[in-house]
Amino acid sequence: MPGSIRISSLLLRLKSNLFTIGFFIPAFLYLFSFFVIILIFLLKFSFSGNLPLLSLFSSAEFKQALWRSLCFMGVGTPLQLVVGLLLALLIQRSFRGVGAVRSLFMIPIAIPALVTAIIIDLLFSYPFGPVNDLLLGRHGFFPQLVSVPVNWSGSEFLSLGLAILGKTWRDMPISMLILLAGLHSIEREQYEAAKTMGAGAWQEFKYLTLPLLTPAILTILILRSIENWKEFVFPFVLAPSYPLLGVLIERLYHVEQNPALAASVALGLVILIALTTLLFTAITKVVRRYLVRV
Amino acid sequence: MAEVRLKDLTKKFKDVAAVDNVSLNVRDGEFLTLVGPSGCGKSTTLRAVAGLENPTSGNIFIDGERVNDLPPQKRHISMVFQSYALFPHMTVESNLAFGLKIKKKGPEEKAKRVKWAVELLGLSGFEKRLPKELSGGQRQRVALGRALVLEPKVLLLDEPLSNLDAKLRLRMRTELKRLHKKIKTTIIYVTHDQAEAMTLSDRMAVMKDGRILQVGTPGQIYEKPADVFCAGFIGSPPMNFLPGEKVPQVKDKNVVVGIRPEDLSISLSRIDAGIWGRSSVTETLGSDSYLHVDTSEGLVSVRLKSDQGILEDKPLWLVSHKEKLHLFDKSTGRRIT
Amino acid sequence: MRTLKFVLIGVVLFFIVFPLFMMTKYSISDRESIVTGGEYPEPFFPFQPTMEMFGLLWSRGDFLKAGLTSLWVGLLAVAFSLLLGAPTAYALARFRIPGIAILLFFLLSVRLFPDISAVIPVAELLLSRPFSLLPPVILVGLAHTLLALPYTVYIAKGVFESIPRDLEEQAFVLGAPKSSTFLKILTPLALPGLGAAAIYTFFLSWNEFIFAYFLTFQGTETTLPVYLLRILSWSPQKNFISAISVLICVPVIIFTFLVQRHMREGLTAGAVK
Ligand SMILES: Nc1ncnc2c1ncn2[C@@H]1O[C@H](COP(=O)(O)OP(=O)(O)O)[C@@H](O)[C@H]1O
Ligand SMILES: [Mg+2]
Repeated sequence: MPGSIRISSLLLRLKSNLFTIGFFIPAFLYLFSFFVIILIFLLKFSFSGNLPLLSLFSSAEFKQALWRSLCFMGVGTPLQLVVGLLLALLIQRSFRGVGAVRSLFMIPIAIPALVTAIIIDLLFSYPFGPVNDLLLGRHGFFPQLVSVPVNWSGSEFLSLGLAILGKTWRDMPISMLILLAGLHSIEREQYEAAKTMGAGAWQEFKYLTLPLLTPAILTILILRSIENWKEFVFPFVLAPSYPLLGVLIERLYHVEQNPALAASVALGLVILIALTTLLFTAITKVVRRYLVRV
Repeated sequence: MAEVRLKDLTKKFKDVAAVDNVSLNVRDGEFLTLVGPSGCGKSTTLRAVAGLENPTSGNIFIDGERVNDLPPQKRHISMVFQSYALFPHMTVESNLAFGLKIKKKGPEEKAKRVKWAVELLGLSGFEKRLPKELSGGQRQRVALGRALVLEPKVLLLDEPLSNLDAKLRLRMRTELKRLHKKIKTTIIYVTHDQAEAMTLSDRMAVMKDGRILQVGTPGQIYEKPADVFCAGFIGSPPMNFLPGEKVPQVKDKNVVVGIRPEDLSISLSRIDAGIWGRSSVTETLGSDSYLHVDTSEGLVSVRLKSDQGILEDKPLWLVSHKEKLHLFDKSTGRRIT
Repeated sequence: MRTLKFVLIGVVLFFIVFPLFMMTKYSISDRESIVTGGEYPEPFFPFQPTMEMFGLLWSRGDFLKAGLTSLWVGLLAVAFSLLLGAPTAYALARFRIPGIAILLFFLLSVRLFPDISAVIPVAELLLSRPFSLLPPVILVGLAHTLLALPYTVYIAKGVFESIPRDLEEQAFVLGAPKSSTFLKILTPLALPGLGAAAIYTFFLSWNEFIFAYFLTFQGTETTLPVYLLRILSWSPQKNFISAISVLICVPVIIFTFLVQRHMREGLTAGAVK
């Protein structure tokens, strides 16, 4: 009876490790129950509201928010990648004081997003604020670029632009760190070999750094696009008149007191993120296969 | 084809001289080896020739032209690295063609040179593979081919065989030697393995602590080592060293006497000119056997003649012809005769 | 090339430091320096620097109360996530559970929901009976535990993996029961590493806005970021809002420099394979 022997040996292993298993359970249960609760609540709300889910998706408010979120994601993701890459390249090779520079580059992530958003709001305040002062040419050292102060928060384009700027500013250390790890995994001798064969700085970047960095870049594209889809704080503070999906959820929940509708949008957001992740993962596979054969 | 000349080359990292006032002439078409224990500055010397390190002082000439201020690609050199430094995302073919692509050679010439290297190095059939799909020896050959397609005047090799297993290393040694015969490029080769240096080189330079101690053909260095270090470093098993006063033929306490194991013979009866000892263990290295003899000055190894039986724990006397003794000054370590 | 690099580093540093400089400048500005009415540009350094706003905040009970709330929420989150997370991490590090990858995935999966989506069910749950009877500090602490727990487990797992197994086996052979081995031998060794996880959790909680905002939307007891937002809705003076911002930022910036290495681990957790 091999089956029963296997079961009894499994039981024995379980018993001798009961202590360890007991250790494992509390946190697992905590997280798992929240996971289930969140999922069930979202589903229950979305399908029990007096408005069916589908009609929400055809409402103008939702469509607009979806479009803004898409723009936020589509512009923010590549921007954050490029900024992160620039920062990583700047401190890739060690030099005197590189540690201090890296620490300074880490500051933005330490500051609460809300505070960052508020500082940006102060800097771009209308009609009187430091940036408007500059653009109006009130400081001698800067040429006048506009004749009337810019009302940043009054324009959909500008206010969402500021929100993207704030998000990029705050999160640049994350992309930087991931890319830096990628850069450091490229051997120095590979660069030296390329150099003895006549490659200049740009050719080294094009033929070595960029292709070898592709895995890190794809990781960042996935992580950043998720992060940008679900962004709330920056647009909430900087572009309250032009809600994107995250802000719409808050408004439906607090202002319109409609948790069912809020949950529907929240579920929609989850689905969007899942789809984007799948898409990017598929792209990753294709790109890798292609790169390998170049 | 070119000659390389180093003149008073010094390279310091912080205050430590990794290369210390090195002068060296590498002749046109020669296979010259820099050999020495690890950390003695071989790689740094080679990298200075390649242009990857800026010398602190001194000059480097390639074909009479001072190249100190030229970037690596203008020196007409190619380098093979210890780790091979193959580009992991490129196929064998792309790796081989990389330098030609950078130098903007036309597609026909590129294809021709790559084909030449593939055939020369026996890589046919592997052109489309990635480095990770190759064996160690194949990677090594791709690295070599990548350097050769550029038709360098000087080929620089930094411990190219040290990542291979013992058997493959021996085979690649022969292949390298044959390759050099065929292409006749000047080669500067770095290794810490004295046997490798002995078999490969036209001439070798023994380095220690950033300095060159002796330059010469393997035979010259083996037969007339310039100092105690060279004498002990070249040859396996290493030379025996005895204080002068203990060797009856010398009887001089200001001298260190070096005797190679094959220059000693054993006598079971007392000889006045002999050194007394007691046989300890026998070690067989393939065709040769070595007997370790316990003397008052420690273990001395002796190569056994093929007809000699194993003698263990027997008193015996060791003698050598006087002209086979290497005498070194005890205080400076330099060769006396 | 080199000069270009250092110029670029300078530019980046400027863009990082400038907003912080402006925040600090505003916080010590006198009225004259911020209310210009368009007659002259705002000066880059206040005409008459003053600590007036900080004095005002110190004397306001609601600011101090929010500060204390933030502190308590942070400490609660640290305590909860260590108590729950450290044993789990230990089990993951020591016991070869079949399908461990799947369990780890479940542990991390809670973070796959966007905060703004997850907060709706969590708020609905915690703001209804019986949970709503608990003080808000505990509710927010529980929510922050949810956010921090996956990271705590991840960091602590690494800590326990770095402690040699022999130690425990030795104690076991000598006859010590497992529970006292864990408490008396492992915990002291793991403490520095767990400290890093604790600091990470504390600052996650200190900076967290969304959950705190939803869970304390109605009450008077809030954490500092939510307090900051409430003040913002009164359209306050720039110097007042900046002074609060400075006080929120100072501890985080100091600690970032102290625990940078661990921060990096937390931030790139799971991203670098
Ligand atoms: N980039 C460097 N910075 C500081 N010291 C170095 C550097 N490269 C080599 N060295 C030092 O110089 C000495 C010689 O190194 P190397 O030329 O690599 O020796 P070898 O190749 O003979 O083993 C060593 O002591 C090494 O530590
Ligand atoms: Mg070396």
